[in-house]
Amino acid sequence: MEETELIQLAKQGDLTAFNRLIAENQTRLFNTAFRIMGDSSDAADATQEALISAFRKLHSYRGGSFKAWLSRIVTNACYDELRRRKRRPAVSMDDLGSETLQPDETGNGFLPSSQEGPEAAAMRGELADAIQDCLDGLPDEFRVVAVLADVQGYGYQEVAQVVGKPLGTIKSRLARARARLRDCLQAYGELLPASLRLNNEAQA
Amino acid sequence: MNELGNLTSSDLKLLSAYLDGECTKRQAARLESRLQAEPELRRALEELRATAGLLRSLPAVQPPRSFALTPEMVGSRKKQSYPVLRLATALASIAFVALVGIDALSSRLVPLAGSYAPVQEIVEVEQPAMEPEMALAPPEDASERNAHVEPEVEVEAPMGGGGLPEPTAQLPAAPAEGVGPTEGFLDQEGIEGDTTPKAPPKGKSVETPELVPGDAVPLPTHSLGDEVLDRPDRIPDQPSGILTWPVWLIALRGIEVALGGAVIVLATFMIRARRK
Repeated sequence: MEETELIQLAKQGDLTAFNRLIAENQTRLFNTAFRIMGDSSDAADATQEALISAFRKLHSYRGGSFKAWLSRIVTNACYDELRRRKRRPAVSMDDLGSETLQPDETGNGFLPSSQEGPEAAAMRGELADAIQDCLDGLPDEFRVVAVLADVQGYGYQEVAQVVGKPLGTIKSRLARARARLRDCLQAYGELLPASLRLNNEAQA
Repeated sequence: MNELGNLTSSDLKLLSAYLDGECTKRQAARLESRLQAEPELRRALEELRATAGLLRSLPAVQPPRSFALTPEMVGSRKKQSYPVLRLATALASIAFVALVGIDALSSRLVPLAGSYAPVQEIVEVEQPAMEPEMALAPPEDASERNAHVEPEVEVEAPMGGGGLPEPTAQLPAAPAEGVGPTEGFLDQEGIEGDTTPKAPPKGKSVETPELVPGDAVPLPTHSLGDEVLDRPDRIPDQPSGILTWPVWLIALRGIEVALGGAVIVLATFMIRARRK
């Protein structure tokens, strides 16, 4: 069954049809949330809440890219959660330590925290952790654009649709996000591929 | 200092967009000519490309669980209906109680014209006057009680064929008319909507039969009292008060019934919503 038919059925309250749409999109949506949130548990909660919200708001879907529509709802759920986090009282160092040292549910190793220094991440030898650490250090609006465009491979137009900003804003945010990430990643030295160490080698 | 740090924001934006093929052809052409001439700009482009490549190389993480929705997850929306139902039930209950209160108050202040009690009072009051001697009392006796009775008695006396008719002679005529004098009295009361609880004077009972429509054969005005007196068993057969309710009262009670039903239905849905 095509996506359009499933959407129509889901609009009529068919939960099975909506779950088929979810099955096709949930990995991408969860990864978007995971890269934005930097935490697997929070990302799963945000994704679940977003999908429940999406089912309820399905009547407001007026066509276009369903993938972008879903991504927008997930992104907004992440924004909401990030805002809640900022309003929360500071987490104790003990809690922070236990959280950063726990392996994530996917078994993909340890998730670094933005509070963690580049040396600690480098010691684990995980380039992915280093990248996530740098992503976590970005302002929210830059991180979302970088995740959507570079991690998920969305086109500029789709990113603009998801974020709800003009194309020029998206170009500007993505360029600045890449520049900041590049600066951040320089701190990880030997973890980086040669192409990114090009400048350092040239200077040496 | 790295190359990206030396770039202007416009060059950085241009390089980033060029990397993704999001520049216009004109912008791309100008940038390519600059790239050939400016090695630092070229290195900045490579660093941006490598950074974006690193992000794209991030492995996709498998979700820790399925995000398929269950009816319970979606059903939580029904819980949101509980406060609405609760408010609606409360408002309907208040309106119902208020209407019942208004109904009770108005019924007490303004007794129904069609209620049966006043008729009984009339009969009881007039019973002593139903003696034939009393009914055929001289005009001066009647004038002492009510001035309106006297002329009518005088006018109708000749119609009876000279002299006042015997009360018993008029009795068979009333059932033959189909609408007895007493019925006419009640009907008129209902039509006029006279709901004041005043006890009607005796003279009024004498005048009333003249206003009954379709009463072709004039009856002696005093026959009302005679008939009622002689056939007291007809009293329970008189039209009940329900038939003579005012329209507004019927509408009010209809609304009361509807509101009562609405309260029951809303309360049922509210309880079900709360359980869910």
